[in-house]
Amino acid sequence: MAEKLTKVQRAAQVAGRRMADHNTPFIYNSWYIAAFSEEVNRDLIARTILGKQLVFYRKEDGSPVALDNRCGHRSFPLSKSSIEGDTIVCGYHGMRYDAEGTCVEIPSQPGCGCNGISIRSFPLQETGPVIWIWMGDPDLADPETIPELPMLEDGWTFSQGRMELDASYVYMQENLLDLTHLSYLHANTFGSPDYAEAKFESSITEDRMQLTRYVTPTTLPPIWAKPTGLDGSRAARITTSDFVSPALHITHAEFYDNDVPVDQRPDYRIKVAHLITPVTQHECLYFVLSGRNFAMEDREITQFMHHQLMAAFAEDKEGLSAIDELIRNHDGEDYYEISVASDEGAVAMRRYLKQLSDSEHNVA
Amino acid sequence: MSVILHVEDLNGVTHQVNSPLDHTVMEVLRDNNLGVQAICGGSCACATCHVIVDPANFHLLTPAGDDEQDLLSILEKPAETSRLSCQLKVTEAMHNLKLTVAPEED
Repeated sequence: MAEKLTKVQRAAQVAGRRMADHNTPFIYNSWYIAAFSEEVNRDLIARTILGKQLVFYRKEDGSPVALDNRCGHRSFPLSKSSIEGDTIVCGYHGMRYDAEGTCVEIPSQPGCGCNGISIRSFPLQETGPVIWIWMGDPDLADPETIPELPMLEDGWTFSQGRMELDASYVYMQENLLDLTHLSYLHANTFGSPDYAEAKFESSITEDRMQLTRYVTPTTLPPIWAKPTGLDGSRAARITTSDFVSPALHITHAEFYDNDVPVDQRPDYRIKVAHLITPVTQHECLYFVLSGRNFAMEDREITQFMHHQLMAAFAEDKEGLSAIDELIRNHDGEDYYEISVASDEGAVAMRRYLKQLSDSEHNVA
Repeated sequence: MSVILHVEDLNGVTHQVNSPLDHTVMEVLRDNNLGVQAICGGSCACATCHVIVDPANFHLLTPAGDDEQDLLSILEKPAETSRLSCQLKVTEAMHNLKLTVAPEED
């Protein structure tokens, strides 16, 4: 027999219906990261993005290409085929496709006009270390709408890393907007007990959610204490969580010593881009660009910070995978998640994703 | 800038509450310990800031949006003038508005 729900539980149930979750259809009309630039070369690589199986390679002039991975003839994976010049020759019956996906040769029928079996190509934009992809309506693909990545600008240095998560991108985006989890999920890495209780301010508009959390005075974890030298108990850690787009969240943080006068504080800031690309309802790719504006030339610090950061993000990977496993094995009864005050940004963000998805898929 | 709200608490006692214009009614009630839980902090996700507005003043409020209507629909004892106070921004037009904090439902 179903339990009788309390008012708060019933409220959570109805509020949840207007929030994106793992069942919400993907938002195609947005730019996502397909790959780091260094991943795409003259080999054919297969990658699934927003549920679509794609093949990537580079043309002879170096420009990247993304095509449907399925040969239009008998569905052979083009990633298991071969590159000739800028074309792919299918490994099954030799159909040849150019970089726009147009079939230009059918070996068994020389001279045959073969445009009708062309495969879809996807717009790409390479910006520094990343390749953005547009999976939606090609007429709406506007490179001007690609979000900026401030850690690639002058005055900043960055490191990059990549993970595969067995979880919906929605929950990864949510994870980043509620950093009170640092005190628990990341207790062994870059969390501290005072994080969850720290004061926060929010700035929420229809399409952008920002939460700033003031953890001060505090003791910085080694990842930030070591490279800044702020190793006392009077440090400040001011973090802004910034939802930019379905594909991008940026964490901005600054660190200083409360005992140093404002005008004498060195400028220690980090900006971490979390670039999240849905693969399936239960999987996503997680690209990280971790930038800082200090110790620019110190490679040892880069390595130290990167190693520490990825160790912390591995805890998110583990936690989100565990949640996803539980959800997948759930008994099927309608469930609800209670939202508390620190979820303010996440609730607004999930409502926004649901609205984007509904409008794209014509859900009334 | 602020206005005065007349708030009847859970014990039937009416308070005149100074309410700043940049706040929501929920924040005013919460900050004055007038008996709203506001578990979700104002995201319109918990229905624990339910108030009943004096019918004479009800027209002064902007109508409930979809999220709020969803939540009002799950109340066991809604009134004609039930609102969620987290969705009510304090405005000058609300000066002297009368409202009652609704008793908690299980």
